[in-house]
Amino acid sequence: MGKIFAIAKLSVLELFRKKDVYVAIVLALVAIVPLAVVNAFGIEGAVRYIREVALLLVWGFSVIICVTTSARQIPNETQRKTILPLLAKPVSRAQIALGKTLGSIIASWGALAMFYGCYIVIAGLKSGIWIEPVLLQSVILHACFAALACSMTVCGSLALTPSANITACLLIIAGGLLFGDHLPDLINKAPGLFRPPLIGLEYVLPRFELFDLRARVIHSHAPVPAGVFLFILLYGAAYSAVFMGLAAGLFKRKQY
Amino acid sequence: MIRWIFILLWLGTLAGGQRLVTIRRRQTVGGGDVITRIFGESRALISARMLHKADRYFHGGVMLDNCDYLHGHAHHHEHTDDCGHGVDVDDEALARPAATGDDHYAGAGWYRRLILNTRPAGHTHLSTVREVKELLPWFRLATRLDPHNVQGYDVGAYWLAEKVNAPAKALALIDEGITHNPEAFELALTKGELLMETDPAAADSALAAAEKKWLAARKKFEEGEAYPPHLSPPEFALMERIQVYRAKCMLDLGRREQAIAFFQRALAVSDNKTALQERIRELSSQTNGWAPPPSDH
Amino acid sequence: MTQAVVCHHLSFTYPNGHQGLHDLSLSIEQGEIFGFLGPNGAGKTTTIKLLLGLMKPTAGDLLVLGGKPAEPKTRAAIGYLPEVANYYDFLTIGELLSFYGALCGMSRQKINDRTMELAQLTGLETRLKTPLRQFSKGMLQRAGLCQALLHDPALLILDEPMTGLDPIARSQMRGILENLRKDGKTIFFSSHELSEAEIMCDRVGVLCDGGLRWHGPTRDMAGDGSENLERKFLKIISEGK
Repeated sequence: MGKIFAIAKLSVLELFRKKDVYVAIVLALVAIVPLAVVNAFGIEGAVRYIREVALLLVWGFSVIICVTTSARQIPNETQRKTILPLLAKPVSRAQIALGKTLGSIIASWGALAMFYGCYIVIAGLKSGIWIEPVLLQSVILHACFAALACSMTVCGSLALTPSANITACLLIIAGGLLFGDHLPDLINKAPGLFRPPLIGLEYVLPRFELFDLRARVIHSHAPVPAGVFLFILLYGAAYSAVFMGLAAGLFKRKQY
Repeated sequence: MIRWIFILLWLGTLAGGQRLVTIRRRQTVGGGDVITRIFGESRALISARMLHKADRYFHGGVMLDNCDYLHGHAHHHEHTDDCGHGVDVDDEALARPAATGDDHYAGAGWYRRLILNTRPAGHTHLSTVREVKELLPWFRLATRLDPHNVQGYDVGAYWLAEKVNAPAKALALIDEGITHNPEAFELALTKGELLMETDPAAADSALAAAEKKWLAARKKFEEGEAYPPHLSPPEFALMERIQVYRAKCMLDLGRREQAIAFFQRALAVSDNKTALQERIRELSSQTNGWAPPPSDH
Repeated sequence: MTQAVVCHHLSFTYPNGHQGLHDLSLSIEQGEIFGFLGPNGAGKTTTIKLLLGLMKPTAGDLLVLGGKPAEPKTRAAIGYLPEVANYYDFLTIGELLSFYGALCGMSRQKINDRTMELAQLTGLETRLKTPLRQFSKGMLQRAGLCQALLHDPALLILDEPMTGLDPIARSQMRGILENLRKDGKTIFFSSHELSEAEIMCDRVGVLCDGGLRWHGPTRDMAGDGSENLERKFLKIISEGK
């Protein structure tokens, strides 16, 4: 595990030292702070719109950070030729793939922690409510989503070119989050010929929208039942494990 | 690479917006502002989404297609509290699409159960002043994005006046809407409605303008001329409402004969004549003479 | 003497059909400096990648320090200096050595001790906290040597170690390699610079178009002195073609 964590630590250091994440946070703050200060029609008291906009930005930027960070983990090693001394060390390909995935997951979690920190401060100052149980659930499921997105992207980076991988992963994740819950409906309405591929998509692709509790947080609904919450966490963990296994297998077959 | 992806997505959205919005737009006040330059024609679509968002907020985050309470007010229709699907819907009931009217989630059982549990459930309406304020930003955004979103002005003004107790701000919003949409008789109607309690004379003046705009719209409509789709169709029910409101203003101003005349006009376009006939009879029995209604159009 | 590297009819063909290495049979004794010579594209780097387990041979057998190079425990005794000195430029040399040390399973204390030792050996002791992006090419090459020597490997594989070094740095590098030989390390280095091989190597192998054309003691290649090493090298290459 020590070797996996050493590789993971390197990925985290890279994300924070290259400062991409700070740019994202500044951009998010530039969008949210003016909204939080201005009141519609000069009437104070609206809070939910701030939660809505802030959470939308948190999710948007987290998707971008997860995908772009994970997508460049292994291809960057190849591109800058650091892969050769790395592979020459007494470390297995599986350990490298797991370390790179874990690194991008921890880096994304670090970015998420910073984003949610800003969110809690802004929404808290506006509403006077700081942390609700449903927000905690939402953050945990978001972290699980980030792990799944990173694992999928690292796996994709071993099968596709970086640009194709980023495009595919962004489309799959954004498509899932925006339209995922309409997929069953789409299948019901699709003509016969289109049904099998759509049903295939429904069962093969991870259901990213399950991890999104934004609507419950925005409207201060009760937390999700514990059983459902745990099931979604396990679902995310299982999918992440599958992608990590696939990544290790694909990396093992690569020749440098 | 990422930059190119987003540029492509952005261009796609704008192009889609251009194709989807078939509304024939007029040159407007502020038409060359920053919002127009950024969003182009797609702003009408986004503006409509903002109103949907307000609807969703009103229902505590639940999207209920058959509960048009929010927009019902805009069209001055009556609303039943349960929208036909029960006020307190428990999770089990929500899991049955037929019970809720929400049939988006007709997928596999396990997925259905999970997704329903992660989305806001139950049917509530925001009711307190504090809660209703949550809708306001979406009306402001909707009207800023598309100054022709007549419904945005109309519904926004209703909530400002009736639920947030800010009639002055409601009037200001309606005036802004009238400036951008001088043909919209429903905005003049709402303005008259807002002024009725405090200033019957001003209300009558606004309602007279509404009547004039309705007649002009009706003429265009009947002659088959191009009619701007962002305006409500000039239905007789709305003309009836204008006349009834004008009658009420006259009564508040102590002009009973003129009030009767407006009720008569309402009767001419009404589907439900009994109540109006009763009201006219009642007023006629109280008055000694009869005077013609003021000719303002 | 036991053998550090044994290749038997080793071949490698790239997926595009290009034969990178053809029927290479070679053995390198422990404690010797072996120079692997050849023009650009001869197959030197391909051989090194096979020795490190980065690629799998399409034919033949290969044993490095008695084990298969694809196994991490074999690589634990190998130090590798790549031709192009590219490392993580957002790290300092101290952090880089900590990272590689952790991958080699070294303790924190051992890493710190070796870092100081190697920094002194390569003259980088004052630069331990400088980010690598501020290093010159020569300094990066020395940093590369530090990471190759960090875990005190029995076999050093150096791919064009003198590339980009100024005469002073070359002289220092030669001194370091001499000391390593005295410590009993086996050194396998590829080069296309014959003068370096002549000065340092016990034995050399000449590779051309993926095939080994000649190998033996350096003095035998130079012959009785009637022709210099360069002329002999060119003769071998032209005969091979």
